[in-house]
Amino acid sequence: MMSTETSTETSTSPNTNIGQSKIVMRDITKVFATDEMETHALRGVNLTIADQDYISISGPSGCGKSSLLSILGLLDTPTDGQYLIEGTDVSNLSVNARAEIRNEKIGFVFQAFNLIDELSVYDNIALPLRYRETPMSDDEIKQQVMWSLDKVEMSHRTGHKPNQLSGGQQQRIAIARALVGNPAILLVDEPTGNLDSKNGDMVMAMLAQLNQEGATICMVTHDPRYGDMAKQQLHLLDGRMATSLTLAEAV
Amino acid sequence: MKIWRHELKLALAALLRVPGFALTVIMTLAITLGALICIFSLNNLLLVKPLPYPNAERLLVVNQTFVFEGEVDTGSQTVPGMLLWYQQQSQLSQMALLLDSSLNIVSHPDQPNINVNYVTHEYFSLLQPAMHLGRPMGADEGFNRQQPVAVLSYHSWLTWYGGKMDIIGSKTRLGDVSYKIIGVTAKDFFPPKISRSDGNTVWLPWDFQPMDTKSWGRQMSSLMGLGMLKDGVSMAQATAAMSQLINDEYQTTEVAEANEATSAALLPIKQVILGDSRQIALLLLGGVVGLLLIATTNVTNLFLSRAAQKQRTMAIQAALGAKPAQLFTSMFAESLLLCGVAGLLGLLVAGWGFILLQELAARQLPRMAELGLDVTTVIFTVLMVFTLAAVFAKLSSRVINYDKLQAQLQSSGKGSGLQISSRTRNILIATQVTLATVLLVAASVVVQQAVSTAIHPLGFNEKQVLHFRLDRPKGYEGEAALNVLTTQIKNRLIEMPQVLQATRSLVPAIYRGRLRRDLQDMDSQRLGAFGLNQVDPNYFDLLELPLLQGSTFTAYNNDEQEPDEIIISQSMAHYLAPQLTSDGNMVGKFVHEGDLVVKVVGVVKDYYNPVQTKPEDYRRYYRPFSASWLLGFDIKLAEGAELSKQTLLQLLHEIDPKLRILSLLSHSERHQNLIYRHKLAAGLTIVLGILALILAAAGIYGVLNYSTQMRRYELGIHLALGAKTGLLMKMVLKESFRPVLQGLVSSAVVVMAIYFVAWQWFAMTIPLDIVTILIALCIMLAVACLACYLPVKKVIMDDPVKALRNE
Repeated sequence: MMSTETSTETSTSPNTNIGQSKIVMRDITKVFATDEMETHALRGVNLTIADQDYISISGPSGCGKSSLLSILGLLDTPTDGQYLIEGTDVSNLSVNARAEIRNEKIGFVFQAFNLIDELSVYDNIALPLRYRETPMSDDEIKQQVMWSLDKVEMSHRTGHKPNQLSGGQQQRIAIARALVGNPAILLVDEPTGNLDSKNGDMVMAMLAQLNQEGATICMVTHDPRYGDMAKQQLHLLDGRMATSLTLAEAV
Repeated sequence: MKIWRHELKLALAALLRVPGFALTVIMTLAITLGALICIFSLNNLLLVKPLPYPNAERLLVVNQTFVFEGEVDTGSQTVPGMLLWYQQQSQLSQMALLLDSSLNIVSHPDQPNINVNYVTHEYFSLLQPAMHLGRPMGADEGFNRQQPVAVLSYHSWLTWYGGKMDIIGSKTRLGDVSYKIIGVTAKDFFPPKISRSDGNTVWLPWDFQPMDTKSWGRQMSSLMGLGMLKDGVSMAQATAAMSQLINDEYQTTEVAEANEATSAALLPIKQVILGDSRQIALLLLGGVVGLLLIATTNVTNLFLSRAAQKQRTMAIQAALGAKPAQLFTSMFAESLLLCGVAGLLGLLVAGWGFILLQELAARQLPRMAELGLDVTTVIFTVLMVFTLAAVFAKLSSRVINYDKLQAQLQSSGKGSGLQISSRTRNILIATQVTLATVLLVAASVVVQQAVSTAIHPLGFNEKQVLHFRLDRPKGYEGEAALNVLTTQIKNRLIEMPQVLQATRSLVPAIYRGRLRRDLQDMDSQRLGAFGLNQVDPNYFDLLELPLLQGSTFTAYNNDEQEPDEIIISQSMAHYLAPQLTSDGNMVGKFVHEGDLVVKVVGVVKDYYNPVQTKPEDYRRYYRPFSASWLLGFDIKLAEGAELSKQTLLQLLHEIDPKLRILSLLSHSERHQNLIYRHKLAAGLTIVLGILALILAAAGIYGVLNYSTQMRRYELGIHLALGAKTGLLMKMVLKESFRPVLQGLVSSAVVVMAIYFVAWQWFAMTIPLDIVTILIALCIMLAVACLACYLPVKKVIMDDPVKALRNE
């Protein structure tokens, strides 16, 4: 089920499982250049994430976690390398094509929740569906929204505004929004960073539950307790994959 | 559609969270759009919209032109000339005669003096008015049928006849004739404003007009023809044929001078109705377009700030799969919502503007009664709303870098946010200052001209002076009888306790029309046309108009002897002196007035008429009063005394019950009426100027406030490190002030460019007054200084910790 391979920029990754892989990154580099200097955020990262996988990425500040997550989420483009989602090369797509794939294949969960304060819970969750290339009917949207709210046990809060909810509830709404479009992968960025431990535990339990139900998850976290909950833990250092540890090995 | 509904819902929710921003944008745009819609409607009505008459584009006003030794005088018609055309011309499919006059409703208890139009029945077939009651005049009431019938306008029916529904068939006595009322025109029929008629009029058959139909010597601007060109006949062909017809006849009359000719002047009715209102309408349009530019710049600033604020929301939308076009749609929805509400409010503001214009300018601008919201205005408003919304959304979207939005999501949500570049900020401020200053300079030039006209002293004492004119009564044959009557009236007036002095005067000193006559030297060489009044010797004393040379008329008995003295104005003396004297003294010189030799006995000081300000308008001469056709009187009342029309009428009826007052107005009222247009222009321009200043100040404040807020943290660090507030103030103001100065310099360049373009290309001299310009620049500078100072003060006068904590 799980086939994750990481390596440094020198390694090659014989990808024997590419047909079943959700995500494949080959030799990804990201360089931020100014007139005076170049900053190498990622240096030849290789990454394969299989269906129903749950991986965590950790590392110190400035190691390239955010850059990697941005590229994974198609919020940014790599300077070099190849990036495939479900077999489709997405390394050099147009802005609109990337938006379309982001909409249909990727679900985001952010540290700061990033809910739109002006919209109700229902409208926040429905938002990705409204950007669909093929418009969905109101009934279809409602069905999907209620399904995802059920998943996070927040069906009773549809009419509330985000600022009327606790941090933990907001994050559950953010997870529901990430799930609503039935994405290929959930990208989770420090999901407990703005939560107390009780709410943090609840959110992490929910992610684990979702993974057990079939969701593919890639999470960035600083917290080793939560990193350990992933099936595989990756460690980034200076833009390179430093270690790869499966759950079994960790245990 | 569903996407739009969702976007509008999102925009509404977002705007409810920023009520200050939303209200500022809506109010700024509502006021500006209101002014724009109002003035657009005015321009559309005056310049574009067809007149509400059938075949209006073919309707013509028929005037007569006299040419004498190269001097052309158009717009003064003769009765026999107009009759000649009416009966013999073949170029017009129909022609109506119209004489604008006034009569008293004798059958009314107050005997009000009302506007009447003597017309031939073709007037109604040409204009085809809808009728509220009864019918218009028909061929049976046409030329030479002598049928005493009257058609009332809707307003005169309401005002003078109580709006009685059973009015048709009843009689009304106007002047000496009893007329049968046969019709009332519909409420929405507006007679063309080609005469003084303002819609409150009564139409009477031409046959009852009081003028001499044989006299070619009497020219009147209140007389005109209304016609429609025959199919296939051009304006030039009609003019040529009608000119030949009238000139051939005129040359056979004894009044025709050598080298004098008369011809036809056919003018499209729209041109006559518009007059010089086109310039006023365009001037106002220019003003509000300037205002719109300033408001647009302002609102653009606000939208740019808003775009910066909205980055986080847009970043979330982008992360969820929104494409750049969808983000633009989102911004467009927000700006459309704001502009839409502003457009609706703008229509309300425009509605008030229409009422204001109708109240203030109905006498000065034509077709004001038709002014109102119509389909064109609504379409224009919708177009403006969509255009502005698209412009604001486009400009806002240009400051958003889609690819960089993700940075917003990776922070804790309190990102430093996007800032408008200092270049963009400076351009916005400089543009705003330039536009506002140019508008302010233009406004100050208009106001300065209007005010100088309005406050220009008349040169005589107008206080407590009334002028009234009598209807020429029947039963007084010849000048002598009328002279006896008018002298009697004058003497009775002087006996009244409230009257200090009375004098006879053919026309009031200041009025809109002109009475001019040619004078020749003793060799019969023409000296020119000069303004004329006929007055009693005490006229100058009554008006406190000083005699500079010579004396007033010598005592004479105008019942017996033809007066042969004239008094000339200072300007006329200066004009004639080089031609007639070697020592410059005109007193004692003789000139010809037609066959009559007259002697200059005095030179009187010039006075100012606000509607006649050309140098030749100051060339006037006065002859002793002779009661030939106009029976006018000036009365000087005691301080604080009043004289009502009823009291005056009572006195006149004691002399002869047939006497009727045609008009009674104080010189002060006349003066106010004549300068009303200037006061209106000044008032509207001041309002526009103040609006421009407020908008510019708000805009500059908005941009600088935003950029200062963006620098709060930096300023907080400076303060925390011990920087003194004065130093920081100097530092920030120096940066803020640069674009203000650039704007002022650009405005000076733009003003000079406009001046030179007007001068070189259009041969127009804009009366730029350096003091006025300096005042405008100083006002702009002061407002800009305040707008720069306030945002900085707000930040640096507070505790540094607040800036550091971004509180």
